[in-house]
Amino acid sequence: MTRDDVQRWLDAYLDAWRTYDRAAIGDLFAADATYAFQPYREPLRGRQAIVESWLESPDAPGSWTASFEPHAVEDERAAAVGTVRYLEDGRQRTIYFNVWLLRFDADGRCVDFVEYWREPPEDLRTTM
Amino acid sequence: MTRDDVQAWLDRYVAAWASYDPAAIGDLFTDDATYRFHPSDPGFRGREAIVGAWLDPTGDASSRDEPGTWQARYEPFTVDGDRAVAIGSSRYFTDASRTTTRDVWDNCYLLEFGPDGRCRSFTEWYVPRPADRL
Repeated sequence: MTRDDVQRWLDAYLDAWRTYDRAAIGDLFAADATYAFQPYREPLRGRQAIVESWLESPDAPGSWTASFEPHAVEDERAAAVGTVRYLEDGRQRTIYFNVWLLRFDADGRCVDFVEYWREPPEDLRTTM
Repeated sequence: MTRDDVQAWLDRYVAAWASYDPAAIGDLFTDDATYRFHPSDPGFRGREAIVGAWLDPTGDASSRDEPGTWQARYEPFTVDGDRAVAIGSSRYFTDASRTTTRDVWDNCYLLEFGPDGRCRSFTEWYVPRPADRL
């Protein structure tokens, strides 16, 4: 994967999150992909399980903004870094700082996804 | 940087933490490095400030990690020119007998290196494991 390939995948991920389009979500992941919301948690296994999990409690349109970019890409692996801001009545409710560890197959679909996320101290969540 | 270079740096990082030797800590970082314990921190800027933050995390030496009460291992996940991401975990025991685990943290480091192999930007994500996953 090149840096551009990874950026395109990240942009497609955000588009799929925005649209909650079943095919667009599924297309990000290999059939046997794993997806871990925390490094210590048992991952979801399989494209179907990942798609169902995304659709379980969708974020309302316009309730968040996010941006991600690759930090270090090496062969089939990439680490991406970014922020997700959740909004309420047009104002920021909180912000998450995320790292995603990604492994891709030859088709450019994600095989393993592991997320690390941190929220700033309470007094900074609405202003950062 | 190669994977081996990054692994060697991470091993020196752990050794510096174990020794609290100011020269060994300082040698990890460039003069103008930035070190963030948390991605939302403004960070400590400059080698001297970083060494100070390691040696006296809360203004004095009392909150240093006692020798033998922890173990840590980190390895590169990706290495890309002068940038790398490392992952691993840090295990803290109740005492130096290392029989009872107190906490485990899963760590992810975002790293940028200078031309001399010293780190010029360090940002840590640490995630506490729940008690039933230690």
